[in-house]
Amino acid sequence: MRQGALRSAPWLSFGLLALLLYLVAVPLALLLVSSFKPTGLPLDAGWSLQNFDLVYGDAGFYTLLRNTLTFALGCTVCALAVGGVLAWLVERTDLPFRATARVMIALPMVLPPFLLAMGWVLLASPRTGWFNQLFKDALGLTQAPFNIYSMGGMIFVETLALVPSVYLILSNAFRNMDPALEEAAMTCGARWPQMVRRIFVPLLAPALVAAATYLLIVGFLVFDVPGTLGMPVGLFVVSSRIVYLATDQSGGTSAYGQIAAIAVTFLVLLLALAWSYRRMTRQTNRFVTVTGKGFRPRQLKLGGFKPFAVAAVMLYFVLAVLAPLGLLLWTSLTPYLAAISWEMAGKLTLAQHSSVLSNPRVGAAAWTSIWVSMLSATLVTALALLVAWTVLRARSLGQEARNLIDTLSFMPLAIPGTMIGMALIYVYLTLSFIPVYGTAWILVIAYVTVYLSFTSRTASASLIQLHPELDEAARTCGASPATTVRRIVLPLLLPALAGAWVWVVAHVMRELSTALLLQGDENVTLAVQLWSYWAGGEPSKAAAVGVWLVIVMTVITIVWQRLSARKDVVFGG
Amino acid sequence: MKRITVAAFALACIGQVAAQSLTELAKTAEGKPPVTWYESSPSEQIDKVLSAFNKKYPGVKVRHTRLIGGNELAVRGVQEMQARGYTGDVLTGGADHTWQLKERGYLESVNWAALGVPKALTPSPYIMATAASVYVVLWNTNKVSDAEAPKTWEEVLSPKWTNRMGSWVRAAAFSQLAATQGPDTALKQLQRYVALKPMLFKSTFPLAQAVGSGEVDLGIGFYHSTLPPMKAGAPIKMRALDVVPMHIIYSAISKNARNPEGARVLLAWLGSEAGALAYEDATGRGNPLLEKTKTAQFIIGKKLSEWPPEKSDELGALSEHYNKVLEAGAGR
Repeated sequence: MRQGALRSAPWLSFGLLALLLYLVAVPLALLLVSSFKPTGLPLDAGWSLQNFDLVYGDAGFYTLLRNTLTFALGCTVCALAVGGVLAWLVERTDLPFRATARVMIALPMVLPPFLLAMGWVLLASPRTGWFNQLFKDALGLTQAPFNIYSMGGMIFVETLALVPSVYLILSNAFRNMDPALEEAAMTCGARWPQMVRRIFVPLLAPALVAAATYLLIVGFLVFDVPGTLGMPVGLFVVSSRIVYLATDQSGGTSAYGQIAAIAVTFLVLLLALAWSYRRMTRQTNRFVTVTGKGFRPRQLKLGGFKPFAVAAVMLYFVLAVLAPLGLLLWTSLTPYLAAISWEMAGKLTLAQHSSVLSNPRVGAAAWTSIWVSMLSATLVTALALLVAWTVLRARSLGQEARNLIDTLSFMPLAIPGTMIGMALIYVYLTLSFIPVYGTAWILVIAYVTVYLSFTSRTASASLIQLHPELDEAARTCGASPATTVRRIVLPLLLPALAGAWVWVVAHVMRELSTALLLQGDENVTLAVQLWSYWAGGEPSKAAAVGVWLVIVMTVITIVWQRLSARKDVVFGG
Repeated sequence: MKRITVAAFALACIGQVAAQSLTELAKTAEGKPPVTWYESSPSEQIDKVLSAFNKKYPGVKVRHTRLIGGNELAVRGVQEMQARGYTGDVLTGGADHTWQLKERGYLESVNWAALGVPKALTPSPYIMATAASVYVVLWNTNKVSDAEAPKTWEEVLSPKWTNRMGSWVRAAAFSQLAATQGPDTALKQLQRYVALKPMLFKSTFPLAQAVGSGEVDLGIGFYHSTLPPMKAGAPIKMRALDVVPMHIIYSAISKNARNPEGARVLLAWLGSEAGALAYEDATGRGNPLLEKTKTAQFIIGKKLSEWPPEKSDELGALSEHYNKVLEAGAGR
């Protein structure tokens, strides 16, 4: 057996490969077939390149691409910077109230991004924004100082939404870093900038690249924020075109062929990023930080900077949660969408909450969301662990097969939610002996596929930090592969996996595009119900659902944080 | 006088025959699976419609599935027909969506007259008009006085509304205007509209909310999407302009429907005065072709502008072009 290699049962690896081919390759194949069909529907007759011509032969598409690149790169850089600093502050310094800080940073991921954007419209719209009114009144300004309807506004709000994902990927990597390296560097007289450049960045490289890849692709595909803040002022991005092609395309049907042709670009981009990631992480030993030697991660004493660090965390919390959530609460109490004013304060009512809470459809949707999100999160987290283990440790499959597994687990990120939904409809209408069409189970399958990218990156970025000597020690003591995973790997990865689990729960709770497309009469989720209120002209009820969604997720996030904190105690974090 | 008496007698006979026929159909439908109805209104609203329907036909069960829009309706219909040979029993969507399904041979030809459905609602044996999305101009009463609010399209296009307007991100109002004004005139109007730098919204529901909140002063929206904030007390008023563009919403029965008898009973009821009023009360979307609906009353005496279903392809091409003009020129 090669060093660091632990033979796992070959059937498990082959089973994993088969499962991934089924979950990912089937929708992918349907997507590719769609792109070459004149109507975009895989079972229709004829083959054509017209979809590629329509998409890439249109000069307007390149304007969208330019806007999208600006937006995606802006979000990626900003979210990495803010999320990185917050993860470092919480995991590597003596920041007070770290447990609370973890919850405060992770909480924004539960807010559906379009509600976050709507909240910021009410806060920073040039005409009716509350912040603008405050500043204009206080400073005697004639013009509004903030304009949320701008590229800057879009990047700002999307950054707020993405920071929790970056935090979850990076926090575990920070937590697992061996302080010996920093201590050695400090002994040699290295200063902080040098340590960041020579130690932190190289050691965190897998996690940073995983986060950057995720952010970049999300930046390309996300619609909520650009749709709410960019579209009104003519700032269109590629996702605006995708939504247009899906829902508003003239001629009577969705232009899935053109959506698929656009998605091909993302697939190529993703393949390139996945290849770079694999190339960079080829020498896995370079990134090992957790070995058989016990360590207690070094905590930098912030000293006089402590109040500023606390203020930084608080500022993020205020901007990402308190301010938009405050507006969400306000909207849930107003009879119609209205800016904050004394006049409206007199009209506040609990009628929307009462109506939402007494609606049996909301109760049913909440239950569906809860069990679907928890089951999907559990399944996808387990699958991600298996993927990471197989790719990084198992040798029962050849290198090529393991590369294929790694790539397959990454690819769903580049498939737009509508295309996943379209593919699954075909698959399960055809495979009628698997009776999941129109039920909540089809959502579970969709979410396991969609969120495999994020969870497998999180699991890989953490597993890569564990030295194989831990496995070997267990093996020497006679432990089976399953026991090794259960007793050694799983406990060490638990904080990261728990974080990924919470991330999936939150994202499933708020996920809309796939849920809408797969909607039947038995699988309506809370996000669909929320959207239903919003699209039906009842934003106050949508806001009321949003408020309750945040409350439920706060509880889940606190439980996750408690779990992480307990692991800190057990493993000396 | 004699002729009127004969016509009235004939109508009464048809009505009686239709009623008899519907009663028989309803009886047959009772023993079959629920009628599946693909439609885009929130299920809470359709619950009220079905409650009214079941008062008249208690034995006919209907299961509503909300699809997010017309395009999804058409695609879902095609996918289900291709993969399993049947789809929703009743399909409700725009002219281009239902026509698309008709062209694929997925819709059932129905003798509407035998069901007692007025001729005006049935331009073809395959589809029946059940409601409409009617364009209106809406304004925030705190920002625009009633006297100042436009009454004609010419007034809407006045430069004084620059940076004060909002509309749907699609130029569909102008595409439909082209049906009566001609494509060139409608395009010129659209270009003048684009010069006003309107704010664009994903749908007319958030547009109406934005007018209510004062984010925009004046909007071109739909009658039914303006009603919710108005009913909630928002400072909004609306009116129909001199020419009223609109999209008729059609319903159809699919081939191989699981409960075709129930589907016929449901559509016959929706085409009746009682059914149309129940649907309008619940969804805000009324049938402008039935004079007792509020929608018909709202646009009474106005010239309507819409492309017929058989010209859906022409409308589609025009809309694509107009949408690009709006997207390219919009933005503040």
